[in-house]
Amino acid sequence: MTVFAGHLPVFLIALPLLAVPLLYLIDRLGANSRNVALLFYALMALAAGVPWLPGFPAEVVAEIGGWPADIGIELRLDALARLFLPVVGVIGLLGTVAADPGEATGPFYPLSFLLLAGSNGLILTNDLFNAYVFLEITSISSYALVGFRRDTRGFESGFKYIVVGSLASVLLLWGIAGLYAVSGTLAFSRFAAALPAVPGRAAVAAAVLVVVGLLTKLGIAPFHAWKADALAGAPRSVAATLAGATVSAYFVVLVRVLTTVPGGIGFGLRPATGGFFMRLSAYVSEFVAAGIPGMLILLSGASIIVGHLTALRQTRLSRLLAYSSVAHFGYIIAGVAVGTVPALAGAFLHAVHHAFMKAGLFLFIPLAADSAERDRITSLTCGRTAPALVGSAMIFLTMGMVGIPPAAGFASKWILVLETARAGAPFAAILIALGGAIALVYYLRLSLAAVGRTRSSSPRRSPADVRVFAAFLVCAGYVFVAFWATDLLAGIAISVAETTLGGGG
Amino acid sequence: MKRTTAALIVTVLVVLAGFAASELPSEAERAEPVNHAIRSLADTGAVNAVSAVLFDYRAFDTLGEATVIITTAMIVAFLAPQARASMLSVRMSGIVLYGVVLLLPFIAVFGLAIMLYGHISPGGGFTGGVVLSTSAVLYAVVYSAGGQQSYVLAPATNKMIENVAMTAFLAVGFFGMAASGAFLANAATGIGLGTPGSLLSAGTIPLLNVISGLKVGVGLAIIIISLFLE
Amino acid sequence: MSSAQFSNAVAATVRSPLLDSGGLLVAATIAAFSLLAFAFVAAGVRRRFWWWVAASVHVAAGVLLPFTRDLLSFFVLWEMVTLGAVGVLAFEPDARRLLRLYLPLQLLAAALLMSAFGAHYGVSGSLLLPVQGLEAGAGVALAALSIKAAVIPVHLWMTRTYTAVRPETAVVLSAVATKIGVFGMYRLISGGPTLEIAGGAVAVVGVIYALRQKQLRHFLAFHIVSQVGYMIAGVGSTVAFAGAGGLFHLANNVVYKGLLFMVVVMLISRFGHSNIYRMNGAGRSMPVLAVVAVVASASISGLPPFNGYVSKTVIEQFLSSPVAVALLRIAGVGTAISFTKFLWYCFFKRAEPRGAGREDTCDEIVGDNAHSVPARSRPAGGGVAVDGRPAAHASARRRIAIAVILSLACVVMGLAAVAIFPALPADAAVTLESFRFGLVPPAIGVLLFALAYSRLRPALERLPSATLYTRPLSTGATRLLRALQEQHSGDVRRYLGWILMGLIVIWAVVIL
Repeated sequence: MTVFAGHLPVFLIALPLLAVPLLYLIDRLGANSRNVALLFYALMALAAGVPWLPGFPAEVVAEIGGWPADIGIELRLDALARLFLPVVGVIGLLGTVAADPGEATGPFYPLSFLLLAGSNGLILTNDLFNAYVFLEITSISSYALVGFRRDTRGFESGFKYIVVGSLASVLLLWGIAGLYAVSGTLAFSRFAAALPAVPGRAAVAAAVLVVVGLLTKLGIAPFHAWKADALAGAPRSVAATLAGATVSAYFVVLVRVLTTVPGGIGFGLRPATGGFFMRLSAYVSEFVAAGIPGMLILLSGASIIVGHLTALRQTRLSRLLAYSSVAHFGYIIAGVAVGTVPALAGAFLHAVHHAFMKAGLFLFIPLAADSAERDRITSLTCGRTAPALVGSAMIFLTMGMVGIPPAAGFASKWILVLETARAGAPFAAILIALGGAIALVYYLRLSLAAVGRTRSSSPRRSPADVRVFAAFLVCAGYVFVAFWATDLLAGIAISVAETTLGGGG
Repeated sequence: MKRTTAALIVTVLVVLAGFAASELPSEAERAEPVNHAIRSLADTGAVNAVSAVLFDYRAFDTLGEATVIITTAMIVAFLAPQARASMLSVRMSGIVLYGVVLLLPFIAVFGLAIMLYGHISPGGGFTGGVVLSTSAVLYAVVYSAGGQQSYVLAPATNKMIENVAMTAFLAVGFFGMAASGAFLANAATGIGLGTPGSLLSAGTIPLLNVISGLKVGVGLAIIIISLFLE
Repeated sequence: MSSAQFSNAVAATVRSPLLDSGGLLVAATIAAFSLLAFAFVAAGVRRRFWWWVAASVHVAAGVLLPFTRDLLSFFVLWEMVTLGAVGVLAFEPDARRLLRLYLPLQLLAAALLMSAFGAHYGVSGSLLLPVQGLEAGAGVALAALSIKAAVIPVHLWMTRTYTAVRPETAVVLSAVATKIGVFGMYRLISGGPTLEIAGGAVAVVGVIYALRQKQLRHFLAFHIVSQVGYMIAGVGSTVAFAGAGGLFHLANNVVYKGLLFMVVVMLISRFGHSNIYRMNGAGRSMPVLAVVAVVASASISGLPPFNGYVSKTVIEQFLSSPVAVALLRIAGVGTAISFTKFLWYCFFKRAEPRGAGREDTCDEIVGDNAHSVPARSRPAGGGVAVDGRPAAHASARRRIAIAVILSLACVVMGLAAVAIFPALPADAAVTLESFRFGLVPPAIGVLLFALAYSRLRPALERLPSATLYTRPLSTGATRLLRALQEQHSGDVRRYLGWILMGLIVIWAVVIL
């Protein structure tokens, strides 16, 4: 077990990479590589769950080439990685399984594996530059998958994604160089020791570059605008993977950066006294004085407002969902920025829940739309396969997004609201709570449009339909089960948050 | 108006970045000295410290970067199918045709040399691969003229080499894992570092040089040729 | 961390309920009334199985809510009340429009409540029900509770929904949602004279708007607003007895307001429309109903010995702010005017000839089958019964019986007030002297109706309606959203500009 455990981080990255030549070989031999690909992907998703087995060590460090972190690269399967690896694996699997066989030709499955390898690498690596390399693998394969339909809209989406993503990469690289120049190290675990507790302006500026790059990848306002354009042209299964799995991997890197670079998180507003303007100026100066966390709180507030309000007027479901993601990552970043253990736990929990809810709603589109092009909300239906079930599951998922009790989204949102308020960011708390009320308006529009109408135009049911159906139901099922398991999940999230904060210093 | 705004944004960015960078510490002030160059010869047996970093200390990054190139090649080949008619309808003159024939072997040998001697002299897999790819591109561009396409290697072979190289890179990694318990391990596997400065030294570094050189060379060739012939 | 103790908030409430007399009274009244209301609905119309499930969730959550000990359970039950109502509304013929009205404000209330709980938790570190009101975020919580209680100007979700659903549905809905809002104020807000005055003002404004209504259900809906004002004045007071009075008023209101809704349902199903002025003396054809209506009107107007009298006097007696008392007295007179009008036009006066008033042009046609019948083909105000359903007699008799039970309850709750709710002051009983004292405001009301109502009507018509603030709000919102959408029109250069400008701002703030 221990020997295997020590190698697991490497396997989680190397095996998906190995899948690329493997699939090529199978294709060369003339066999159908799809089933092999799906099976292999399922195995990788299972492997991502292995760290949860009893007896698995709490933290596994794999030194690549045998070099320690100060001179080489190491992979670290710690609590944070253990939490997000299965999310990336399972949602990636759902997205891949649900892929339309007509679209999933050529390098589709190899690209999916590259995406998985990149995401796993992002989650596992303890080295900032190595993270950049995996970020490039992830980004480039996702650019391709976004434009995979090879129609005008796909190309347009892919193009916008590439342009904005490249700028993000450049900023990130710039920031990484800066951090390396200041600290002399690239390992997350060594930043705390290599930088003074109150870092100088060069270090802060570099950290801001890294953070802005990652926020752009996540889609936080004002760096969010590409998101709807990119996801709207992507094949739906890809959109589900990107909005659920890939984003979680970027999020993990952001958390690692923020928790290891001194001054990255931790924000508390002291209650101010005096008249309105006195108090206002006191608040503003505290935001400024807080540095990066203060900025993150402001950005998260902007994301929540802009995301929800822009989503209100969208006529296409994929764009609506993309803007809703902007708002939800606003919630999550607010939880991260205040930097207390329970708030961070709430952020983790919400990130996981949101991944499943969003992936589920993206998978609803192929079920509900007549063709991949038509995801106009007014033309959506509840599909042909068990429309009542699909309709209720969709409503349930939207309840989760809004944050209404028997759906998991409520639990994580509740924790986020309470803990951001307690940690001294009441504005964030109010915005998170209010966000749901706005979200309800557009999700209600969706529910009212889709429920009660079934699809009749094409009479035959394809096996792909069944696979999408199953993947969609898995997401909805997760959202249901996770609510009743909130105590368990919150406990896990808290222990993860404790280790993450403790480990980073 | 748009251009002025852009210029303004860039100016402000540069000023701010300069202000921030004015505080960068000197080498002596840093808490963690960067010491790859000092210890690389003893650790890896490679005279070229850059190769030691690229193919040993941080070989994992190299694996990733090579994967990026493969991914890009895969995407470009998919998006711009090579079967499309050639845009280069101009026939090259005889001087060009023969000149290229004369040049090609030298370019190829130069590329191979850079690749093979990467661990003892400046160069390495990446640079060698780029040089190799130029020979393939040159050949394709010159001899495809006139609507007929000809390559040094057929596109399918290119892809095959690419995939084999990727497998080989991973195989070297797994070899290290099997022999010493660390993925991509070099000296620790006990294969011997040899005499520094000789061709067969520095353990797996020359091997990885060749593998990544092939990956990069073939990958770039695929990318550039695909874009040319579109 | 206490905020993550999620193991089934509802079960926690059932396992260790918070038993105090106020909560018990509210829960018991809501439960008992809702059972009768269910019987009332079942007697007249057929509803789908899931309608009953949704309605039961709505009521059950409302019944459980007074027993919660912690804020999480409170919030979950609060949301379940909303969800149940949403389920009920989803079965209405006009569900889409109704939900669009009902849900956003409800969710806004939930969001505000959630953030108020967050603020309280932030200061106190505890999620237990606060003893002395929320320590922080009380203002936000008050806003949330006001929305739920349908206080003007955030009453639209209630007045526009209860008047647009099928009539029987309003009977069930009227008992829970607004009452939960008021009860929440009792539990969560420490209160003070300001809240008393606010309650009084809501009572007055509610009555004024109720006076101008000509449709039965609009009239009742605005009286809910006005009655909520009384309750807020009571529970918003720091005086314990005033709070008890407020709660007792809440319980009474569940009974007589529900009873009034039942009366209205029966009038509507008898006449097929709901115009107050064209009921054509229903008292002659429906004498029992007329008696029931008189009892309910007397209760709501605070006539002894009915229950409304007791709670109103207790509230007015113990309020600390004289302004609030004065406002409540005015509202009491207004209520009396309004219900005299209701009784007079619906049960005693013959209908005004068609075309005599402006109101005849826009009648609201209601009833279960109203949607299938074109409005023109309906008999309008001629006293023709349109209720053609078989067994209508038996169903009407059962409904009348339920109404009679409730009107008896009005009397019993008035006569045995202290026995039913021991938290009331011991002298809150109906005595001979109270008759002399309590008859005054209703008498003034009747007198004013007789002398001045016809002159008052045109003035009331000219009052500003809610579009005064809904229209600028909605145009402003539309403009904002359109601007936002234009900013996201797909211009990559603009996106890049935002990223760089964001970076500049953050850098500038963090470095300089």
